[in-house]
Amino acid sequence: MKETFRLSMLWLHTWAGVVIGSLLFIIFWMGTLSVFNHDIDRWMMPDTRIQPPETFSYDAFAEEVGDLLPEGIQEWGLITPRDRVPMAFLYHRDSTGTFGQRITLDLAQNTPIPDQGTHAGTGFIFPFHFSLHIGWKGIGYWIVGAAAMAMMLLLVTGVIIHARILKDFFTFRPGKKLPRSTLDLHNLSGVLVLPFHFMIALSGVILFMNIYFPQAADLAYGEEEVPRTAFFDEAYSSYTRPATGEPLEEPFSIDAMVATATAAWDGIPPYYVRVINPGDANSYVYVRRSYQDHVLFDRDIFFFDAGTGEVLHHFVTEPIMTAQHFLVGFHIIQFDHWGLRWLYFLAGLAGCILIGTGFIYWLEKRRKKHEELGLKGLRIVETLTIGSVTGIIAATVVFFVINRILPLGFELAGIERAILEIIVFYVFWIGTFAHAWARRGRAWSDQLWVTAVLSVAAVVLNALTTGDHMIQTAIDGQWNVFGMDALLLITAVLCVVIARRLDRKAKAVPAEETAVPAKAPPARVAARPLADLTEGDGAPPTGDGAPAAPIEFPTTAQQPNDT
Amino acid sequence: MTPPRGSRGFRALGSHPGVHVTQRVLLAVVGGYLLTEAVVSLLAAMLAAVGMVRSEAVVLSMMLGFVIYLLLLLWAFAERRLLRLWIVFGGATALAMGAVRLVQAALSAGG
Repeated sequence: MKETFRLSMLWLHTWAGVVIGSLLFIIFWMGTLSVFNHDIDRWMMPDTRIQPPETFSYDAFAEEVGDLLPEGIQEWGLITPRDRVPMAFLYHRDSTGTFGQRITLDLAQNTPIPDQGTHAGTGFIFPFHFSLHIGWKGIGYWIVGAAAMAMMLLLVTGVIIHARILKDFFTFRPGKKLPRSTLDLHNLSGVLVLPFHFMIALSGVILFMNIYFPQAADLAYGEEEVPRTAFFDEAYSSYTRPATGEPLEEPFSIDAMVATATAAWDGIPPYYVRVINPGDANSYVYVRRSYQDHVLFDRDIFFFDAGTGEVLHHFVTEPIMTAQHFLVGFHIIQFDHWGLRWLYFLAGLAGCILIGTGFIYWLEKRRKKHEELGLKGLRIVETLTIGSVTGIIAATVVFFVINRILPLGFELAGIERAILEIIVFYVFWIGTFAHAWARRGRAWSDQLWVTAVLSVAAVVLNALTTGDHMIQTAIDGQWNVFGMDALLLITAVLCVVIARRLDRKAKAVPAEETAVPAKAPPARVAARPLADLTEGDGAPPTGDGAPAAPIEFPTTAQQPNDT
Repeated sequence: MTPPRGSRGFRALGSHPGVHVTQRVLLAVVGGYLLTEAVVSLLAAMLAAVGMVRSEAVVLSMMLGFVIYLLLLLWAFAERRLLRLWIVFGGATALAMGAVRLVQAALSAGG
């Protein structure tokens, strides 16, 4: 749309970035945290810091499961403990066929674990990542999908407008002035992690392809009565067998069925076992392979006759659907691999840096000009940026802190604890936008300081309320709790380092501005050594006298806040 | 600097930058999606017709749909002439959606 292809792409990159960037940062931030969703769960749900049993018998469990469930259920299913999830989950469908309340179990003690009063990582942070918790007409999925398309668009246009890809693998000049060093960091994080970022966005939309292309099967399955249902049945397996109403004489051993399936899977255990129409002569057992050992998000299911143990049906996905499931598995990393998990986390953080620095570059490049022209847009973008970058980080830590402050079972005005936590999160988060509007550029450092204090508070509160301080968790091998505490402390340190640097820079800025009316050229001369000085870590002023004085100038709090 | 060719006929609509950008974004995002959606359905039916397993044809078309959409988005912002965008997105979308209706009608008549 501009004179040249590259200028068009630059325009698209800039404006798609500014318009979608806030949303993208939020999605990336929540997605990055979701890499450790189960570990966040352990931290926020202290009663789930348990050990799974050494051995487990489905037959023994099946005999007692009736005590936990209502009469006349149509099915029950059990998800057994995994590497990062030491509890089991019991599902059931009641006599009307609707799913009842999920029960969390400690299989080693054979007791239900009481409700932990929090949505934690899996119930709040993870769905935030893919639906923004906007349930109405599934609109959240569409917004996130649009953001994912924008991410791919930004990556492609970013490569096009950027001619020196190879060089930027090795270019970072933190000592340069802010727009330049920010652009370096933007390019570095963008180029280095480019394949991951592109694939994570693409696999993200492919994961929800049925939402984004709901009509895809309408023609190919045009001769069917309900094309979409027919497609789902074929593509995702829908083996069923109706109940007869006759009682089952003698149930076959579920452990034996699991052993058959496990042998077929080269020793990989099941992830999900369901007994459909228990006690009926036509009852059958669903045994689905675990995906712990590979990227592929398996849909490999055996259906056994509950009375004879014979295999009724073995479902595996067709090749292209398997490729789709591989991409899903790549995105949701449910496999066990700590090294890769940390790489995902770091790549996700690189995405956050990429988006954040893009914003800062846009702001810093325009700040002077916009202020001269008296344009309002910059302040809006600045507010949105600060609230969606440091704001959401601070709000997330507040979510952790409030979880450790409110006692289990706490209620306020009839609102339960799990909802209160979320309300606190949102109220605080909205507050960060208001704060950013009022404090402008200074809000960056304010919010970082707040995040640092809150992060340390979260670690202290965890130790006080659960007794699991970092030495204890290290001794016990509770690495998910230990890791969460460690990451909170690292967050605090990083926040302090960045905030201090910003504060030093902020002190230098008024000096630069006082120099501006004295005519442009001398101001530039003065500004340069100043900027370089403030970059160095506590380096003594080495300038030639003149710029050194303004550095000492704003030691008091008299400087204007609205710089 | 000469004004972009082709926008002449749309001068009233396309000359104001805000109007121009709005048209382009809507064409790209909405027009691009409608075109992609129709192409995905047609591609799935075509692949199934030439012997691919039906469910596989649908899944492959859906996955390719995201790449098609991405390319359409890029082109919508690269093309200088707004008129051509209108013709291609409007025309191709109308054609593809018409084809979807035709196939549907043929199927329901045959079935």
